[in-house]
Amino acid sequence: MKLKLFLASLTILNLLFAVSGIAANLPGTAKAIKAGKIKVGKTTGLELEKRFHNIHNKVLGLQCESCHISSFAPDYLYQRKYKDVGGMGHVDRGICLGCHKENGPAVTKLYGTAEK
Amino acid sequence: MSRYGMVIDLRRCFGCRACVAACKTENMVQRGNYWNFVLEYEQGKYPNVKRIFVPMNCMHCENPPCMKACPEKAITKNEYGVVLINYDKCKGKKYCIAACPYGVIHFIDKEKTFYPDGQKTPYETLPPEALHPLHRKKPGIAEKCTLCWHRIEKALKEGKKPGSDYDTSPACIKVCPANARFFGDLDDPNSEVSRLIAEKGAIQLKKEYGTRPQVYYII
Amino acid sequence: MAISRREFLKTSGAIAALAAMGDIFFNFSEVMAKESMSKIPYAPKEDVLIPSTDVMCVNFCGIRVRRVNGVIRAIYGNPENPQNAGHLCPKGISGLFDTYNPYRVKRPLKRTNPKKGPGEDPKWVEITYEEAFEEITKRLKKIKAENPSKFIWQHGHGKYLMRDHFPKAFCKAFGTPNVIHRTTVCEAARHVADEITWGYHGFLPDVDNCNYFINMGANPMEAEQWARWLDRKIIENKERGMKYIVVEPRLSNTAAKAHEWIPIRPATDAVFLLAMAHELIKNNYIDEEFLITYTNAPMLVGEDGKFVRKDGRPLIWDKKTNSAKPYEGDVKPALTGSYTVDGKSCKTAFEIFKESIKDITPEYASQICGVPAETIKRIAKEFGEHAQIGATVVKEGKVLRYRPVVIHTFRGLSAHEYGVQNNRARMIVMMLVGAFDAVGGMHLHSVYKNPKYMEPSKCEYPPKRVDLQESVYFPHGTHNVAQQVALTLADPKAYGLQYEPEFMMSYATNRPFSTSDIKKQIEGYQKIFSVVIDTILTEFADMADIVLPDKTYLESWHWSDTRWNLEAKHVAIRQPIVNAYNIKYDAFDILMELAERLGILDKYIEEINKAWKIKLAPGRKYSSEEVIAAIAKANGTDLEYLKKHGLKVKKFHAKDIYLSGVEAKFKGPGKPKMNFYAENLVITAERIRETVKKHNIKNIRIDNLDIVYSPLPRKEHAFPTPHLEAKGYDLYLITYKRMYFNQSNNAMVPVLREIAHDADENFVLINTETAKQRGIKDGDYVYVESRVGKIKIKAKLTEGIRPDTVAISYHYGHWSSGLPAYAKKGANPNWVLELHPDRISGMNSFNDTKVKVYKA
Repeated sequence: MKLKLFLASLTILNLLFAVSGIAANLPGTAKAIKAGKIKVGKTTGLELEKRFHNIHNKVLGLQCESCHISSFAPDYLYQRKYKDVGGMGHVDRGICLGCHKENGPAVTKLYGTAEK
Repeated sequence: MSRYGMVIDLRRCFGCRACVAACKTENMVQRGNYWNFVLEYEQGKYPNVKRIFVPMNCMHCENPPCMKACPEKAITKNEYGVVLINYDKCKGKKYCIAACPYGVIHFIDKEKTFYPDGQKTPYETLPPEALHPLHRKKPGIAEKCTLCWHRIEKALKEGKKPGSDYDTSPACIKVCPANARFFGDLDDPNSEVSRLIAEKGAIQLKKEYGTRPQVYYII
Repeated sequence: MAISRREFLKTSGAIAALAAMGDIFFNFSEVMAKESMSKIPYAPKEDVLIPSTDVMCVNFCGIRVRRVNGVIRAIYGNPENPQNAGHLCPKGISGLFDTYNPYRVKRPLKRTNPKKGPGEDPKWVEITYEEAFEEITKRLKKIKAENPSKFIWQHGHGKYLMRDHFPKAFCKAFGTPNVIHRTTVCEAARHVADEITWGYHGFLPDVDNCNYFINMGANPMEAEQWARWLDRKIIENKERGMKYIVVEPRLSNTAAKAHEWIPIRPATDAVFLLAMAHELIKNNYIDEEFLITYTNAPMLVGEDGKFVRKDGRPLIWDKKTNSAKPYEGDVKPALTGSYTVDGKSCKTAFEIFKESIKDITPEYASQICGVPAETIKRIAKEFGEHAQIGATVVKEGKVLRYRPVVIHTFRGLSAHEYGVQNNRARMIVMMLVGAFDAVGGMHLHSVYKNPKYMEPSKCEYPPKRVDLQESVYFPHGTHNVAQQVALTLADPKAYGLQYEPEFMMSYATNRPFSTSDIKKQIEGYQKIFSVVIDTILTEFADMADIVLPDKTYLESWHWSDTRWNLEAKHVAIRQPIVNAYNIKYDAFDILMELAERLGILDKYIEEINKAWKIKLAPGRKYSSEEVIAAIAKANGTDLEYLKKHGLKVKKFHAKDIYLSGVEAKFKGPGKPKMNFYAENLVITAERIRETVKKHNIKNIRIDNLDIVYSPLPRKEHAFPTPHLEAKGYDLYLITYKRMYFNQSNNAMVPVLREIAHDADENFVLINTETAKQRGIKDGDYVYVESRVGKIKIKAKLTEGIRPDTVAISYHYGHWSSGLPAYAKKGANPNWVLELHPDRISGMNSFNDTKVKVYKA
């Protein structure tokens, strides 16, 4: 059901990063962050000024709207979907999957190989 | 070797939320948080309409993204396949919440009483020694379904087979009025859950994430 | 902490509750915040499971209450209970919060503001039990000397707590006929239809053997008395192959699991059923043998609508001798035909029915019910086919009739102005195929247990009881008429009551909240001195002069009500697990105490002995535990066993289920017969007409008696008063119950308020298209307005409701000053519901109102 959304997110992935001009070398950037060559701060945390957003927003240049959506589709299977997350709103994990999958460009491979 | 998991039969589930209540009270899940929740949606146009109920708890993935995302290594998957958060190690960084594609991890930002006006019931003032360590939660940590590990652990200690009766199954299982929830060992091909997965073609949710959930759905 | 809590109470507007608050539970546990908690060994001082019985709703599920260190830690199901088999709904699971509710009444309260009603702060002051008992005794003694009938006792949920045997015994000892339960808020019409037709009430579908299950507005997956048995039975048997059809205007959770949802226009069920009957007769799906052998369908009916009789015995047309004869001995009754007896023309009851529905074709019904004619034809055909008329099956060595079809209902057919007639229509369709007490059909409970029910009413006038039960107003209202009490109180003379009620005691019931046309309820209850026994300050308590706290079901000894089913019956107890607020008396103790103070203790005990068939010696008060021990003994068990197990089960055999009902009571010549044709209603109507004329009664309509008390359901029964009169109100309003709450109870249980994304507030369900036409978006506040009132409520758009219908659930919209703000969220549809009770049974017409809906 979510596959369609996921595929859509893959195709727009390059477009998103194209804005920041690093689309061509995502794996390199990821490695550089991990190696500490790109400064993203040492404090882990999801807050704006901390590592997480430093990486995704400041370095990779992802715009807020690239990840945060105002609401989930009515049939979206996500347990916390009714929960008020504050800030910019919900995040569709499809966007994370693009980079953090098994053979994706990110160093942290959160997700495995897609199964049918 | 055992690998515990669940099968949820959506054809049977009629959306009563008994599993939600049973989970809440058993695991003392504070107001606003859920280890288990039922999503509900409508399909079709009048008069050809369907209402679908989807209970969701931690999928206890074989490949858990939350575990990989945690900067404090506070999340582990034990030898029975149960994914658990260590409340001592958890520093509340919420990376697990960001990584989980199922949205089943909740953050305890502050202590909330069940009654919305801040009055604690005796149930909420039980001393820690009267609570299983997995129920000794505190503000600033993440929480999620433990597959009622405290029940599995007790069953194993007492030499009982987890899932063999009411009290050795997670609190959400035998209470279900529709008999829509099943618990057992996925590694045992003769277990009820293995049989159901094979016979009824139960599926896992969001397979594109490669998480390999141990919770299956009959749809 | 106490200070901040008080501050909170002030700001939350719950000042009234302040006086009732104890101060026991506010030692915030500092250790919870420490980090090293995992190092503390897990060693509870106590961790036990205590068997008991749930009563968060009326399913009475078996529970096991887990108590840890003296505190209720969780509630589990008891797998040994044949009703719930260990399964529980969210209410039963969350019951511990009902006991630990900080807003409970903890001490006796006395009103100091004489004004009563919404918005009036009662200005409670705490009084001692002694003061409360003294004041009550003083007033009751005066009444007892003058006219004991001036004392009214009301209960609702309370019936299922201590059981109504006790208040009934108390009222007998006191000398008042006025004990009023709330069945007309639930299903009274269904019971009365049963009683008029076969002499008792209650039925259950034989789901395990049924192949075609039509459910007309029963909702076992959200509410109802047999829900925790029926829900899993339906699910299981669907998988076996049972076809499951739900006929109702809203796609309930129950309908969501159906093979087919048939959204019918509200209140038109009788026509749907009569069209089914039309089709069954047309296609000859008729169990003639059943109709002739078990029912009065072959009886000859004269032009006056009454049976043709000889020496008082009704006659049939004997085909053997071609003559009219009583249905006795060796006769062969004709089912159809017109005959002449003693020069007068007559027809069989079946013939009359057949002719009466000649024009109720599926095409006609389609216009009335909003269901395609093809659907009605198909359902009738499938029903007829699946009935397998003539088939038998062998069970436990006995050859039994096999009719695997049922039409089940609850509030769906009952909560209407023509509730009894709707239910009669359902029964007639089942009689046509012979589905009663057959394997796979509808099992009837205690058939012909009370033959009086099948007789015409005496149409009492003047009424003895304040609720007008079995009077000329509600001649067959054998289940009390809950909503009438307030109306009579408002003007007792208007109903011919020969006395003026002065004192009302109510136990765990919330009449103004749970009855339609709330304004009228409030007007009535403003006029009487009222004592309420309850655990929280309900709307009824908010209008009381004295409130006495009660213990909860987890704090008291009760001989529990239980639910039988087709597999087993059982007896069960409730036992005290905790006493959260150290409350001294429960309702049982209060009655015992009052009986002593009033000098009626021995008489009370005598009546208790009669009611329970036990032998308590007079001369002293008894504790509930002592009485329950005696009841246990009288039921062939003992309290010690029940303390350990919670219940004792007796399994049924095939003969108990299939051979003890209609087979034993109605089969063959010389036996009484099931009322296919309700001649009793014809005679009742005649008596009403006479009584009204004789006493010149102004507030009873007699121009439509033939319709209201018709011996057979007819098409007019699909048109309740508001549908005919409320011009300009374009939408039908129906009401329903949600899984998360029971009636007006437990709206404060916090787990239940957050159990689903939409559980915290109720809403008006509107079809997406209907809403679009009015510019209403999902989540908008709208007004729902009827001829009697208007409420503001959130709109929820859905495809799961008829476009001409809106639906609002109960449970929400509390207004008592003793309840916190969150319990007041949502709106109560009773403010807008018109009250046109069923004139046979007194059943409240919760599903007949018409409204308009517009943006707020």
